[in-house]
Amino acid sequence: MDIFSNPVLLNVLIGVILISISTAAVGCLLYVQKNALLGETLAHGCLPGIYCAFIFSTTRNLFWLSIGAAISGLISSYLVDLIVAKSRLSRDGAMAVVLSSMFGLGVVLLSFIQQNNYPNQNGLEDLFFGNAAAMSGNDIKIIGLISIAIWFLLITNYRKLLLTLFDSGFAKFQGIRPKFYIAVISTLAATSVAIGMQTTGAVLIAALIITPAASARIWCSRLFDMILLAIIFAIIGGTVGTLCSYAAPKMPTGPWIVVCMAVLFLLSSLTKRIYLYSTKSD
Amino acid sequence: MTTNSCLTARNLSFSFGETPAIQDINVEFARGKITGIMGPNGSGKSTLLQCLSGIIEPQSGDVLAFDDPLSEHQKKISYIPQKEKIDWDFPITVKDLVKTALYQRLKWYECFSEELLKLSEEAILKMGLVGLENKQIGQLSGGQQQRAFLARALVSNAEVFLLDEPFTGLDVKATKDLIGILRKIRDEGNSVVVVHHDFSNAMLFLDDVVLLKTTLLKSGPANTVINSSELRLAFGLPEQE
Repeated sequence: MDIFSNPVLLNVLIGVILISISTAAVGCLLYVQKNALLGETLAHGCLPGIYCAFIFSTTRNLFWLSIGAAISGLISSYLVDLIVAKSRLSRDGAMAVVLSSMFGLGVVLLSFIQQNNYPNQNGLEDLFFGNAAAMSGNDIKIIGLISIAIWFLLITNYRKLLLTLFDSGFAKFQGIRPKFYIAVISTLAATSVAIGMQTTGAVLIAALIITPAASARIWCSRLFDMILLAIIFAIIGGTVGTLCSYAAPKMPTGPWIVVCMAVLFLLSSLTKRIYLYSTKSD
Repeated sequence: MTTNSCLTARNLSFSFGETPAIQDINVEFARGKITGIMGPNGSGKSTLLQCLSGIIEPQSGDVLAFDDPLSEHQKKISYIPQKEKIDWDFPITVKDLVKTALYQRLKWYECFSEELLKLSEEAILKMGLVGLENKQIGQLSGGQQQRAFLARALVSNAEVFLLDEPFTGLDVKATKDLIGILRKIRDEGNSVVVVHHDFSNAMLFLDDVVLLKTTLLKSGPANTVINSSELRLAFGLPEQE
């Protein structure tokens, strides 16, 4: 088949699927935490970390950029909590402040890199909108390894995460430290965002995190089922989006994936409405 | 020697910023009884309950459970928050909610054993929730929601049940059912503490009442406290002829 005979496309497809699986699962946690905008904040918050990592390492190695992104994303998440605790600003207001400030700082750092003629800087500006086609075989390996780490954390802590998200008071009675597991969720989110930046970029990564979760929540009464269905939606959206961008080569992959996931969300809502209507009329 | 109190508040105080919620509360909650914490709005009822449960740390004073520090008996205490504090949209079914009380008995890779599943099924049966196990908690009625949380408390082997305004939004039948269940829990030797504000049915099921208005106004048997001048004073009611 054509897809399998094209190594570039196959590379992109594997990368997109790996990223989609992780972002969809972590997105479900943020969704039920009613913290959907955190994905957006982390995505914008990741930019300064990525560019700092590049300045210090002078390499576009995804591993170092991801570490920079995750650290910077976590700092953004911490800043949001700090602003909420120390000021009268609401959580969404604090997120807006951090998100725009970090994005601004990212743009300043990118300009600094461009003006100082750092080597290997080509493609750094792609992180705003993503460039999935630029994923190398090495990038896929790094994405795969980080995805395994995300999944390991998620599976081994699933019950504790569920209890923290649902009833932190009861979690405390059970010997679980809610603050620690909230930090685990932020770490998982920041890491997922970090590896997803290559695909959709800072501007669109939130869609990759939240849209599959929102599409799945319509159908599921259990968090576990919701995560599984969100992954299925994410794989379908990611695959169809990648193939669409392959069929229309001058169009970027990330936005296509986001559009496909949005269509899936619409279909999911519509089908549910039809289902409810038909069961009511029975 | 066994003590007669399940929980004891000693010099308990808690403030929200500059505003004191409860001040210097000294009171004992009797074992094997249903005790109501009553008082006007903003009198610190829920804050006292949360301090008793260990959810919030008092700024001064301490809580004893069975005459020991609260932390030593934390697992015997179950706290059910106010309805509006619970995310009813959370994707969790009744069965899974009850099973959360068993999480601590399992390692991350272990599945629920037959024995543990039986425990949760028994609690569901006891709370009259059979047939609703796979419903998402937001799809239950108010009374069923309270019973689902009580089922979880039963599974966690709680001996002290703390409920914050459990009757809010319940109709007459659901209120009657819940009162029956609370009595059943008490009759099995457990202790129940409820934040309650409806005097019309308080005497029906409360054995003791703790009357609060930031400080402790009175505590004792329900009929004594409810007919007291302190209660009328707390609620600004005219003195009885």
